[in-house]
Amino acid sequence: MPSVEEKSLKTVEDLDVIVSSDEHLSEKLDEFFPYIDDEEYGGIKQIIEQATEPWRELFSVTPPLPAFSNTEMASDYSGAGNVMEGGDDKLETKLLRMDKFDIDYGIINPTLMLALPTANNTQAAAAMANGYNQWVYEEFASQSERLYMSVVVAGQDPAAAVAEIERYADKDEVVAVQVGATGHKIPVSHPYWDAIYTAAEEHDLPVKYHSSLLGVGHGFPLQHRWHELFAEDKVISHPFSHMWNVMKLIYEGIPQKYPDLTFVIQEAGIGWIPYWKMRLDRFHLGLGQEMPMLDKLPSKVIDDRFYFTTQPVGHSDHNPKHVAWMTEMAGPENLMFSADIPHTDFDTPDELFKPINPHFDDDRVRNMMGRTAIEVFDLDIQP
Amino acid sequence: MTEYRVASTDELDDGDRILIEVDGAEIAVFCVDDSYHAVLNYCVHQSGPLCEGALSGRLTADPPDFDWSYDDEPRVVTCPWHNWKFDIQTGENIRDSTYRVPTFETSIKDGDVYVHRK
Repeated sequence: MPSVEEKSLKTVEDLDVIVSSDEHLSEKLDEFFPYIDDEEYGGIKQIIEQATEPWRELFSVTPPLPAFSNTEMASDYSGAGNVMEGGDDKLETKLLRMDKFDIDYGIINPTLMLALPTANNTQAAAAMANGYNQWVYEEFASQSERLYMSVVVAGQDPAAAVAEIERYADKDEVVAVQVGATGHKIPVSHPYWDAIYTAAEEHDLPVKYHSSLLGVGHGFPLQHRWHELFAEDKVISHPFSHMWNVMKLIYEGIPQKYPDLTFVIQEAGIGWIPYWKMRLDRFHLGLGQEMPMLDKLPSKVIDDRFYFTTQPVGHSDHNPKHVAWMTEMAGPENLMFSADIPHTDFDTPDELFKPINPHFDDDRVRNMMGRTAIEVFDLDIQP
Repeated sequence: MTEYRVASTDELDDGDRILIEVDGAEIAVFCVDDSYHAVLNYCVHQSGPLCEGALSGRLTADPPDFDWSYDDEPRVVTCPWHNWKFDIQTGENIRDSTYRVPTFETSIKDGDVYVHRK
């Protein structure tokens, strides 16, 4: 723990830059539908247009109970119960909400499109990714120097995914490839994903895995057949998605196969990371004969190649030291603050800053609150 | 350095091992291709009897394809408690070389195998 004399940071206002590595839009199909390329997807676009209930007609989102049924978000997943300030349009609203919490820069992820892995029709999945990306680029990322975006790809169609990556790879505002973490029919460690990882690596774009309750389905390891509550989907989907994906990526040697690829894990908080690092190490040491391509401890692979966005940090009221300890065990150099606005489990910067600031030197705190994200995503920002 | 007689070379066929106690320490001497390798019978993980486990080769996988192949040189001993695996020549854990068990020099003199210990 640093001495008082070594600390100049007192409050979040003292930070030179705050980057939220996971900011969301609350997109609706009819907003990005017009941006789907007619030449490439004109046929399926005719069908998509007929969807009156996209959540189930285009996606397969089937929660045990209505989402957030006890909040205003049941009807509008767009602003933490609509209590946040809104502007004249979605761009202005996004920036106003970042202003409210002194967030300087945000990297945009979707909301509805987190359900993309559940789309059963391959053409529709690729078309929606195409339209969504173009909409985000034109309406948000290219309109504000404070916003960056991930290009969302449909795992259902690797060739179309590669085309999307290449379409945006040279644009400064596009800083990662979002493959999603929950609901994929083929695990993210399978050679099926090779083309996508190759393209991401070639263009120096980290791959991001954002988990989602929307993708919880009826197959191992994420099934809700016996879930009674929407809350059960919500609680379990994020850490379980990542535990499975991270285990498979590391044990099956994907970081070794793509030595220049960076992996970013999103939306499950911090607490599961040290547990999982220890568990992966333990069984690698005991059962490592099955993983000859893995040339170092899983925890070291994670330290070298994986990053985690921090929201939701957890229920931190009990003892803030516990959050600091979790952070230290997870690996502070691998954590990037994320707010997750406007979702109802969003974190203000203080949620991370207050517990970690007394525990770490200023540089480490600054890294977690923004500088690591600038480096990982190669953001054109001078802090 | 003190030399301790382990056994006659005739007593150790290829692939055999013998456990002896040397000055309070239990040491295994393995015979592989007419070479003798001495390893402390102690797993650094949870103090298991490392050298009572199987001796084997190891799976390997090299870039770019990472296809699995088997290196059948029997130089890996597996702790019977938790499957931690160590190279009997170097003492290093084959998954992470920061873990290692003590190894000892050996020699042959007049048909007998000796282990050296300070």
